[in-house]
Amino acid sequence: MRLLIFFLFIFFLLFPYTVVSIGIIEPSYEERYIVFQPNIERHYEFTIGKAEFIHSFKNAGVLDPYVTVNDPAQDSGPRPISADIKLPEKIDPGLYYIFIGGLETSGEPGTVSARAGIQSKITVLSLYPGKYLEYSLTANDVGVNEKINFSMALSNYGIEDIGAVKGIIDIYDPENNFVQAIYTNTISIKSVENKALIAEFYALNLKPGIYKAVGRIEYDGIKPNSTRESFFRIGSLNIIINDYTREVIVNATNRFEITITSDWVGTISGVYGRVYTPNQKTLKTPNLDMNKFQSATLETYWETKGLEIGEYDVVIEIFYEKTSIKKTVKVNVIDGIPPIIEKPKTFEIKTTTIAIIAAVILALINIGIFFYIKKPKNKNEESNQNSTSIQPPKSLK
Amino acid sequence: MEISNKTLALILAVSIVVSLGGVLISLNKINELTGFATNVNGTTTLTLNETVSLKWALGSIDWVSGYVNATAADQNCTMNTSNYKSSGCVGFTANSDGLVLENDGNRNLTVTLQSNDTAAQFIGGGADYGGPQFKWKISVNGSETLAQACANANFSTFTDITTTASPVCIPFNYVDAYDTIKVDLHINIPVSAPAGAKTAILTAIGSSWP
Repeated sequence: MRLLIFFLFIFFLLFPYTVVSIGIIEPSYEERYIVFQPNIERHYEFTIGKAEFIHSFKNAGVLDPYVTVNDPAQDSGPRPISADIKLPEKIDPGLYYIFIGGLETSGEPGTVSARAGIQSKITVLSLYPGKYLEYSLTANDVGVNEKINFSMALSNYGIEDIGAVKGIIDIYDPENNFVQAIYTNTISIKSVENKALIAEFYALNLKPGIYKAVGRIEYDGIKPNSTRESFFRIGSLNIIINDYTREVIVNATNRFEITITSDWVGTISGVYGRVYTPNQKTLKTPNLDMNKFQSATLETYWETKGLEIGEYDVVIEIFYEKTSIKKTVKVNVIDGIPPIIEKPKTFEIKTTTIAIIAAVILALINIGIFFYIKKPKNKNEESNQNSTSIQPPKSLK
Repeated sequence: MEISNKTLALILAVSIVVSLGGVLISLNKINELTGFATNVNGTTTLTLNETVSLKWALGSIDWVSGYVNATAADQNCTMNTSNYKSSGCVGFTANSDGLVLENDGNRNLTVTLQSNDTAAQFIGGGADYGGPQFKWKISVNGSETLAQACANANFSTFTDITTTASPVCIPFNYVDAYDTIKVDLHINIPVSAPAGAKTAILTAIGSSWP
């Protein structure tokens, strides 16, 4: 019986807890990028895994007839699969995507259950005749009077190389008034190549807010009508109080939350709040660091014992960078069921750590049980055994 | 039954081997870490494969069973994953957690989401009392901001679910502190919805980004 309990104990310790997950190991991005040529052929190998039952699939749109997935064991566990692509004589210019992947065959039970899939993307580029550029525009957020970096990413999807390309960027303020046009550098770009144009602009004397940049390109005498837009933000070292808890329960401990947003492009460290309540309590929140333009919630706890039901003025003060902002807000103290206050999480242990600790504990328990159950050796028995061992067997007597 | 020391020692050895073997297999499954070393000159090369991987850290919502109060002023039952259950719901179990999706690989992902059923297929019923509703919302999970997990996230407010793949998070960060998002759900059941077991399946598909 003792042995049975021992083995059951080991069995339950070893019984794995599974989480729905799926993964794929794929060839590199460069290998998965095909520049179309008539009748071009490619072979790709993947490994799909983690989940117990995986359904492999392909999704290639108009290129579907030219893609074959080789799966030796559909709907089974982790395994290698492969795909063969044999493109036709001709396809229209443009970008095409072929997806090869795996999908969990089932999810967890429930009213709404979720399952995960994973896929590898293969890009096929069929070049445009002549000169053809695709581009996009990005700009970074800055603080007042700081430098803004603009970048125009270029992709030459034309058969021909381009000798000289430049970008022009018009900047508009938050009221959509034109501010200034700026020009990028001029570069050359070969067929299939990806490059970037850059431009800099100092936000001198510009007020904080969200600005718009409208970019266009010109290359080898061609001026396409298309434009690209990007928005960037000029921030100031301010924190804004967005929201707060508007109702609390009388005669209870209530969580009081303050939602704040940073208007600063950098990190603001040690932000905290104080809440001055009508029952003469000063509540302090923990400190937190705020990343650029980040929103966050400060929280503290308010004991409303002794207050009457009704509307009260509450003062919220947020402290940061040796300054503070104050806001007086209205909060309703209402009747109701006292809220259940959840304790914040203090730490998390990773699955691997738990597994290693479990293994060590298991090994120690095994060793302990061994020494506990092990039969103590009787010295007399031992000597008898030794003495009998040197005597000839009875049958030989 | 007498057990000899030899038997016990054998049991000990077998159990330790089984334990450690099980742990190693589990860890291998968790991490999928593979590597190899090769070079005729004796130089060792370690290659850590990039793994594209996606996981539902919380993969189901169960409101269990109940019915719509046909004598209430509002003859519908509205529930969401923020612990909300309207007064028209009789029975049912409130849910305070949304589904949680995690990028557990080592590459950024683009993620699409789709349902197998529309609201009408999942819940059914007429257009009375708000009609059948089945919506999702992408929100932050934990202390990170949504922008840290997804540079571009769609459906930041409750939106009707779709049965075609809709991009929800591009790119989905793989860095541990910022690698989860929450998918909150909202349903409305009108009193005219037919009785029976109601289930829907949401499918998230990730692919490496860019």
